[in-house]
Amino acid sequence: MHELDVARYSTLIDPQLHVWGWEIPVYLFLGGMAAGTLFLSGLLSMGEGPRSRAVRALPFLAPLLLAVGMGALFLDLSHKLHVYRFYLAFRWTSPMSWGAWILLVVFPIAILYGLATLSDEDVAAVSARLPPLLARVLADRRGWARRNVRRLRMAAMIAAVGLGGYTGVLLSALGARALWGSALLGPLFLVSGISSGAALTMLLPGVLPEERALLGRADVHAMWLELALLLFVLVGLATGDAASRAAADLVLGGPYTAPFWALVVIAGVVVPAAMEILERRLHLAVTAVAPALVLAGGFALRWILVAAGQR
Amino acid sequence: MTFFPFQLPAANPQVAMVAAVLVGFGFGFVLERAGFGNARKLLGQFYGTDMVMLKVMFTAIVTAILGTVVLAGVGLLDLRALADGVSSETFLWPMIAGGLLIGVGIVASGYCPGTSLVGIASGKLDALLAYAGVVLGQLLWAELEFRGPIARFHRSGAFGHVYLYDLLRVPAPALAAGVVLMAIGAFLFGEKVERMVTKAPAGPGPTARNRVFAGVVAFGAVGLATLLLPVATAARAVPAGRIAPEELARRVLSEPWKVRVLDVRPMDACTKERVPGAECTPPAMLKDLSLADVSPARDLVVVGEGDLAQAPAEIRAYRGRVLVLDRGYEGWRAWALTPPALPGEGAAPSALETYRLRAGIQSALTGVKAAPPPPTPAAGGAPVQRKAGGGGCSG
Repeated sequence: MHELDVARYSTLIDPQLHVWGWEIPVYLFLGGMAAGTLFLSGLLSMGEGPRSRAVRALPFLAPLLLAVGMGALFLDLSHKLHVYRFYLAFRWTSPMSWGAWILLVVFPIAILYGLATLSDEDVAAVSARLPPLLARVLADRRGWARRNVRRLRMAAMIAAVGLGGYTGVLLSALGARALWGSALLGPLFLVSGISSGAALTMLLPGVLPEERALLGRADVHAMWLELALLLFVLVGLATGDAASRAAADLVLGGPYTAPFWALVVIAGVVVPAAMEILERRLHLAVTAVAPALVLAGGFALRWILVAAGQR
Repeated sequence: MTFFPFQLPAANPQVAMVAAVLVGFGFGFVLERAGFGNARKLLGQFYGTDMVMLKVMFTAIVTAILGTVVLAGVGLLDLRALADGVSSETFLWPMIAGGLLIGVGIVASGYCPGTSLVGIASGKLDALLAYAGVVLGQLLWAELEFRGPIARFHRSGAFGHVYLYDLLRVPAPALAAGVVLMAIGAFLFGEKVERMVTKAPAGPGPTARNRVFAGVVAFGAVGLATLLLPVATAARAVPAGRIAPEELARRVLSEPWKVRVLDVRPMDACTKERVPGAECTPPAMLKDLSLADVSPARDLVVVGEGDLAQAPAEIRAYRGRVLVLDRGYEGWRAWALTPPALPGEGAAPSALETYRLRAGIQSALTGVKAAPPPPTPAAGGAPVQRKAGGGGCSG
């Protein structure tokens, strides 16, 4: 199977440029958020002190989000029965092939790492509801996971970085779309995914105040990095060739200017970052507004980039 | 004009929308910091215990009015275009009913639509419910708006755009100064009510208050001073330029959005025939155009019956460029409505181009089909043999 990997556009050869619908941005958003939650669960477990139940269960949230995202991706496939072919070969030059295998690897790593982070009470509560055989398998696997928790944590964080970065690399590998022609899309989607993961975790019930503070700090750092990367991407496009400049114009005065700057930059990054900083410095009551804005901004980023890139 | 990385908002509505989002977040932040995310703060206004809402809103209104008036006075803003663009037209009866209804809603919930959003951001559940009511009410109204008697009521008392400075026939800066005085009176009255109800001194101390008063009065004085500036007065003595019929025709055809043609001949003559796109504005109607207040972006061309020595005073008050048509409508008639003479052999390309333009305009405006060019004479050779019975394919 050969991918479209040449830079060309002709109405005779490609009569339909806009081929990706809602499924792709939904998948990119959920995939990025899954990467973020997995990465942050590793980060949070490095700290001292007991963790809340929500944070202990965080590694299980990643495969759940990813499964829903992959469901959206599956809906986008024209030949759904051919999906198994991704796993019959590995092309190291193809980001899509890398992605297919990363998606497969994330599930066992996240679940095993999740077993290691669960407390004895959590396991007892779950085991009580399982048949004896499954409960024994769970106890065995958990024992192995706890003995290898450091390696699993490292593997989970590496898989998270791979998953988060790959979603952006997937877009930037399609050279025919000038808006996606930036090597910074991978890091951008990774930090945006971490930010979304932090926001989602902050919205979970039962998160401890010190965990929320830690997540808030991680979120703010990720957002500033995201802002810087966004500006670098735009500067790179605006100073590039004619096609790149035309792509940059889509969000610098063109039809996507208002959604991009209003939803992604202002409402999705600047305002929630300012709110989280003010909440911390002025000791204000914590609300769900900033995390909700981050999630909306993360989704808008992917939606707008996917839609604008296909114009 | 471009401004990196964007065009200016006036040239690009996308940027204006981004600016609106920024202003919206800024407004919400200031409201939250001022405590308006709390329903008690707003209700204190109605019970006379806390008049800070009145002060904040009046300060905002006065600041906006003075800023607008001063910018318009120095020629940086088109007051009437802004007012027509951002304000809704007046529908007297539905507006009175709507005002009363929203007042009831504010007292019942403790929030207005803006502060309910601020309350939501502060994590207030009652604010969320109040805003849900706003959305529900809008949906309900959207369904009922165009149905039967409600639709008739919705359109009742239509007065179009009505502004106080037009009603009172005073310049906008003078009205702004009046609003400043009214605001100061409302401040003092509000504080008095507050003291009477709470039996305690309230609000900022006299020094802070006096500073605010001094600030708005000074700003109001600046607004009044703009009345003395030449750009804001009708007595501007800039001589009008001239424009030839040919140049006017070119501009009217190729870039009509950059030119506004005012025909000052009597209404009968104008409605009979006029320059394409011209507005029939006899001298008596000119004052209704408020040309001193309209955007100076387009060039104004004045068309009289004959050659006008200068444009009427109402037109000269226009802040943009004013041009008088050479020889008036007579000149236009002679140039555009009279068939042009064919250019002779070896005529210059510019003369041919002018001929084509005149011939095209003349045929378009008079409905006369342009004469076809004469046939090219045959260059010799045998004449075409035709059958006696005519043409056809029968052989």
